[in-house]
Amino acid sequence: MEERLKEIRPRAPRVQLRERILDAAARQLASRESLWERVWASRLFWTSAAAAVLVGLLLSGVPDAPVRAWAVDMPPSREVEALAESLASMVGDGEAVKHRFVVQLTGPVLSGSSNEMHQLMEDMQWPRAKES
Amino acid sequence: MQRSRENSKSDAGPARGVEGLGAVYDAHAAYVYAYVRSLGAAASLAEDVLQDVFLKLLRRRRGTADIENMRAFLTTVARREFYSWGTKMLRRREIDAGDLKDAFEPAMPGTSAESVAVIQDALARLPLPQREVVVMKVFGGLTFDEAADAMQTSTNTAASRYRYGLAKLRELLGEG
Repeated sequence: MEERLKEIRPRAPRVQLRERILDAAARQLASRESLWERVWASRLFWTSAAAAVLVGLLLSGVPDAPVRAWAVDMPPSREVEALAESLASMVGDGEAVKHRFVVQLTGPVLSGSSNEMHQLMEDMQWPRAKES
Repeated sequence: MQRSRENSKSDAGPARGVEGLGAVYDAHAAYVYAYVRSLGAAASLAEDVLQDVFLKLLRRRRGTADIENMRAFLTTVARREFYSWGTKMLRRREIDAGDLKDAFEPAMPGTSAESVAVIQDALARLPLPQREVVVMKVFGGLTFDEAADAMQTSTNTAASRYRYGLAKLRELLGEG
């Protein structure tokens, strides 16, 4: 019986089908992106990268410098002026000391640096210690 | 002999890129097409199934290195694809188990078109499970194990369906 069946064989599908399938395959391959391309195009990747750069900068202290410069350059508030004037009058060294107090008071308040505040307190005590 | 050579892993070739897929298509498309037709698919549905089968092969992440017998693999995928289309197509009456027209052609110079039509008709009149295994075995060169795998049944069941199928064909072709 198998011999009789072997008198026939499957007929190849029409030629256009081969072209259709291979065209579809070519399109499929062309649209396939690599893993790196997909990562590169993803919003998550760029958001994470930006966040990492920002955290890195904050930890390195780089953004602190412009803040300090701005803090020193900006006009001091009335309260700072008044405090600096009263401190300068206690020390008794005039306008230059008052200006120094203004700078010292403005910087630490904005940057929140306790070391500088501590230094300021020491500076304030120094003339008295010197007098005694 | 010829069929087992067509069937071997080395002839299957990797489906890498369009050229690789073209080579696999040239080696197996005629059989897969006839197999899908023998399941009862009309020509247009069989073409759609064939396209899905080959595009699935291309999408395979593992490539084709792990495929021992490309023809058996394509048979399994084609069967799955056909049945995934099945319900919808049955509703549209695109599945007609009795129609194998133009699915086969003469394999030998002396075979007439009438003879092809007679054998084709006899095949179409077999119950589907028997027709399926006869096509896999005779035209696909699959072993009973591979046919059983594709049909998700036991090797013994596949073998007995084949025997019953041949007996029925003998009867239909007046050779009993």
